[in-house]
Amino acid sequence: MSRNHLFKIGAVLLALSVASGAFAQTPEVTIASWNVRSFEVSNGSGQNLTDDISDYITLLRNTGADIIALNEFETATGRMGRERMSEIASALGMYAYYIESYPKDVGYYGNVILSRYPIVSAASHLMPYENVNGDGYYDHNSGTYLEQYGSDQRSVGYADILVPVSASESRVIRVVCSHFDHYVSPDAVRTMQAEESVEFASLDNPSYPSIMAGDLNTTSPATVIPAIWNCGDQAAANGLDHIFTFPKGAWTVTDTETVSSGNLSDHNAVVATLTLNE
Amino acid sequence: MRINGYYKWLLMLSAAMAFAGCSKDGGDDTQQPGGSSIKTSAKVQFVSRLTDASLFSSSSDADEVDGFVNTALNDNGTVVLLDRTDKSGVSYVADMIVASRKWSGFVSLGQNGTDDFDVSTIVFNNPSDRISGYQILSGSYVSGLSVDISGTVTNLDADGNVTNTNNVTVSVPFYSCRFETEDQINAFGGASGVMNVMKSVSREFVVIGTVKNDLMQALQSAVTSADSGYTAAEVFKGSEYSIFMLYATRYWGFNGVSESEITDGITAYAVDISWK
Repeated sequence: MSRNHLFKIGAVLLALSVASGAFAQTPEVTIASWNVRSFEVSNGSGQNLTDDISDYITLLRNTGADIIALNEFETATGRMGRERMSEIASALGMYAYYIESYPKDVGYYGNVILSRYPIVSAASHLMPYENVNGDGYYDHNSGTYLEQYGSDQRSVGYADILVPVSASESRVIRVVCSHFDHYVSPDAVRTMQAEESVEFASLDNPSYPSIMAGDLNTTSPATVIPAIWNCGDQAAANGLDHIFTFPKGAWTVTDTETVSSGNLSDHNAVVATLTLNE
Repeated sequence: MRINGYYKWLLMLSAAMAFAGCSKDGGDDTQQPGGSSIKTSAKVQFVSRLTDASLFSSSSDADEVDGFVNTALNDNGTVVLLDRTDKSGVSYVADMIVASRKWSGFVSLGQNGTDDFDVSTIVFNNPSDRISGYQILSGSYVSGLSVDISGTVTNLDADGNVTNTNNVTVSVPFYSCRFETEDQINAFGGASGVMNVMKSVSREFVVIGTVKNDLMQALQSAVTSADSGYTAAEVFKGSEYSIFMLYATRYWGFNGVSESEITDGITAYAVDISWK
């Protein structure tokens, strides 16, 4: 059989394979993580709540992210006036899931996951918490309660997202978002919240390739949040904000970026582009 | 405190007695000793074109649906399913719940390209700590959540006259999906099908979704084959799709459906369910 003949057969097989979808790609997603500080803009001497959140939306749009994790997300409260998660979702054309930490007057305080692709299931979980003032109090903890449970009620949540890999096939990935306690020293509360997150989202034996993003309030993840460090890979970080992938070795980081938030927040946005290795 | 506690127990006992006699199928009145009966009723709003088209063909469609959704949810106790909001409707739906402080969950019905899915949206009143999804076939899911729905318990005498009506809140594990191929129905039914997986988590789920008209019988057969304690009732037959309600007859019943046109081609179907 001539080389020319073999080449033609190879070309036909290649075309058939492409047509049948055998060359479906693995998922590639760009994820952004940002603590928006309840939309309180710095004014030089403090912060003012802004009613117009278009600058926040512009920053998020400019990251080009397919998936966004947001912390310190107050919404639908009296001072917010409306449901801010859906306001951002509408502007970006994204699906959204709210991870409630606690009720706040007529609204809520917590975390958010936004996605360009459909969210097929989602769940949230409250971190173990007790307040020195008893039930119904969610912040300003003190004394031994502060040392054991942290300053305020925190939560962790996930969204299982259907990411297309070809025109007819898609794969589910799990995106986990949390905001760990900021106040207590030493780090026992953050260590506990990492363990709680791993167990809740099954990050040590994930059902789906997973990503965790958020303000984890540590610059020493290997020692402070070993439950996450030991079963995941750190894809990106900026100060206290992190993006981890699970299981170890499952993802390749193709790009990372830190986006300055200017006076919008005391945290910059962390962005990573990730490709699944299978 | 003792008197309050006594009345609390009395109320709980009365409620338990009211529900204990409910045992008939199909949402009919439940007969009581002496000829009296009890009727239970709660409505799920299902907004659809019952065609292969997306729900919103224009922003004016979205405005009309917006008005309906926020009126329907103003009683702070019910749920609306928006069928086929799709990618083109993501922003419309998000926008319509900004001011009203409502929340949403999603059902992926199928994939249409590298960046396009058919999707339905469930709109409800409070953030949910769990929205569950089960894959039927690639891209198509049955998804839902437990929602509190406003309902009524009506007492009738032996002549069918209403003697008392109580407003109640019913917690319904509500799911939705779409069946457009026989392969999807086969994957849902059967011994190792999705329905039996859902049953292993909780037997009380209610699925209100759509099925291609010519597949309705196949769905009904698949459901009863998987478990004879379940049924898929035909709720309403449209031009291309029918609405079905799938449930365990031990827990739920189908009372009927009423229609109201929202705008040209878009109709709200109030699916009236009973519980036992």
